Amino acid sequence: MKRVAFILFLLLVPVVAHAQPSISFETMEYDFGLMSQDNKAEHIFEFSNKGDRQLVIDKLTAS
Amino acid sequence: MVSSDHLKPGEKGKISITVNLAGKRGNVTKRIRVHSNDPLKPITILTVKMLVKNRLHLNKYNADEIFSKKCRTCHVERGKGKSGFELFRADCGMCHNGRGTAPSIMEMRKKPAKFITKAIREGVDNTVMPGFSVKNNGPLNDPQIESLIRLIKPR
Repeated sequence: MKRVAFILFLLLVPVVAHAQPSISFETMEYDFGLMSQDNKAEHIFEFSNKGDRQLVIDKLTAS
Repeated sequence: MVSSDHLKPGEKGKISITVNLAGKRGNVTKRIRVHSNDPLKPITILTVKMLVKNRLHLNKYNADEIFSKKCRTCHVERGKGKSGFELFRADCGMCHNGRGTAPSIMEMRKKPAKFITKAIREGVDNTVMPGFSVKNNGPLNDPQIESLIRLIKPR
């Protein structure tokens, strides 16, 4: 029974995985190198929705 | 800041991060958590890091001292194995940044290639510009210096 449930689960994974948004970043880390105190560090991260449902960014939080 | 918070399949977006460095020193790391409706990645963590230096320390030292033991973390190690713009950012950008202390790339471009080559290899007298070539006890090999010259004086 457990095995059957497991096989069913395996079969379901691709189906479930298919119909969903998927956030994908080109890079998730950026090193500015040496910076001086008197300027601002600005960087733009690019991302895309590689899934097949609408992707919603709820919020950004900084720490 | 996010360019658009609703993305259709295949659509691209941008997240811009600004860190104000006033009053910061040393290694600074900022993490931004991106919360989305992606069930597999509900939170993506973006990291930006930098080493913030107080520029005032520059004038206290003689040119060659920047390759000494206490300065090499910033002035030697960071440029190791790099070339071109990467190398410029690591080894030159702390002074040659267009904000006063030393000429920027655009200003140096106006000088003859011979002068630039000599300056990088041997340094410039009466300034804090040291000679970067291995021959002058500097950290850069010939291909690295060549890559800087090509960056400053593109053909």
